[in-house]
This record gives sequence, structure tokens and C-alpha cells, in this order.
Amino acid sequence: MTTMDAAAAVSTGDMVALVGDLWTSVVPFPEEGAAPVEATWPSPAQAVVRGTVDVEGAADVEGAWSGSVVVSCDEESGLRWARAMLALEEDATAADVEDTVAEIANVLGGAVKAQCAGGGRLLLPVVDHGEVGVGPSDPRASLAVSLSWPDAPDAVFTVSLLDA
Amino acid sequence: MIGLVVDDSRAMRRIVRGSLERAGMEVLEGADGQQALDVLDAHLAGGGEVPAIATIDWNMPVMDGLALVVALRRRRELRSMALMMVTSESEQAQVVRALAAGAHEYLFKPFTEDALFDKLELLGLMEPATAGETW
Repeated sequence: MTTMDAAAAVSTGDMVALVGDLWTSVVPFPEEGAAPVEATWPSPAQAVVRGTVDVEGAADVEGAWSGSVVVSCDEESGLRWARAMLALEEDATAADVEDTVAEIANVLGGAVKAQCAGGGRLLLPVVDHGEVGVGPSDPRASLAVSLSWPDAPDAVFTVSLLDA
Repeated sequence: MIGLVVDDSRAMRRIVRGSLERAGMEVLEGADGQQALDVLDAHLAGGGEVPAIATIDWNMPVMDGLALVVALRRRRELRSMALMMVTSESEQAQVVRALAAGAHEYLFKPFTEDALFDKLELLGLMEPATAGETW
């Protein structure tokens, strides 16, 4: 089956909007102030690479566009997202971060699939730690949208699209 | 009033649970379709009331949301339970499949709590005034 590449599937503006929608709708504490701050398209060489990647979640899409929607973050950013998304008063745990990153990948995977005319299939998300093989530094990454917090600019959270 | 939250994501179960509790419901949870059926059966066997609503994710291991909708719709004693897909599966054809299988409402992730409350109002499970008091 011939499929389109990510550039044809989702525009930069749409991707930034999807990530922004996720932030404003799922995270119950918007006053924490994260917002999409950078987007690169379509050259892999322009992909945003900032900070380290400690946790990565991926949801694969098969269909009109086939590839992975990858969510990458460092430990600080993962903890912040988990704490905000789960409305935790206490510190988030590693399991909280895994759940949060997996669900974000799942939600964005579904949203990206919906953008692709012709539909497809969304697979269950997977989460990995440490030295993982995908992310904004991956040469296949064709789009990366990053968010960071005003009080922690080095805590970066990045969403990338990787063609299969 | 009881709500049943079915999602393989603990994060999303926690979010939906919080919203249903703010809507005045007690909440049961299942991490997949089969676990939801098991939890529901145990609840009913213990004399619990039929949940007013089940919020159901689509993509789950073991038993997915569509199979759960079909399984729940086969049970006459559960006819009063509203079934709402709460899922990132937003493709039109899939929405049609879910509704045809017996789901009453559909809510796409990501969603706001207000959007969820709007659906509860639509299903007659929440007073409009209540929605305005929260969030």
C-alpha cells in the first residue's frame, strides 16, 4: 500500500494546533503556562533538539499515512506534564509519567490519523526510557513541535512525526 | 448515580473519574473491556445499581471498546445504561460503527471537562446549572 509522507499528512500549523489543543483541554492547570514554542518543517535537519530525552511514547498509525507519533521529554518535563494532567498534589511517579506520555501519544496519534484522508488504524501506544531510537533527533523525524515552561525553559516536551 | 470508566490509560481514567465525581457520580473503573465486564458483574452481584453511564475508550488490549459496546448491548438488564465512546478514534466511519453498535454519544480526545459535561447534560445525567458551577 502506497502511503503519503508526514509532510502531506499534516501541516505544521495543524500539528501545532493539535498540541495546543491537547494542552488546553487535557491539562487542568493552564496557569502553569506551557505553550507550543517552536515548530520545524519539513527538513529533518531543522528538527528541534533541545535538552535530553528520558522518556518517549509512540503511537503508530497505519493507513493513508503510516508512521509514528512520538512524544519525547526529559524527566523534568515528564514530571510536570504528569502532575498537571493527573491533577496531582503530590509529586508524580515514574508510572505516572509513563501513563501520561503514553496517553498523550495515543491522543495525538488519533488526531493525526483523523487528519489523513482515507483513514487508517491506530495502534496501542508504547513507552520507552533512556537510550531510545526515535525522537526529534531521529533522521526520519519530519516535524517536531516543542513546548517548554516559562519557569523551566530547559524542560522540553517534543512531539515528532516519523514516517514508517 | 454510578459511572463506569473504561480506558487502558490510567491517566485518562483518572481524568474522567474526576469529572464524573464532580458531576456527582460514584465511579467504577475497568482497564479494558473484559475487566469492565468483570467489575460490572461483581458490582451488580453485590446488589449495586446499574451504572447510568459507561465512558468507553476504543483502543484497548484484551477487549476493545467496540466489542464492549456490543457485549453490553446484548444484556437487557443494562438497557438503561448510556454508552459514550471517549476516544482518540475520531474517524467518521468508526464513529458510525460505534453508534450502529449501540453507543449513544461520542466524545473525542482531547476534550475539555465542559465538553464532557455537555454530553452528560445531553444524556439527561446532569443538570445544566451543575455544569456552570464547576471548573
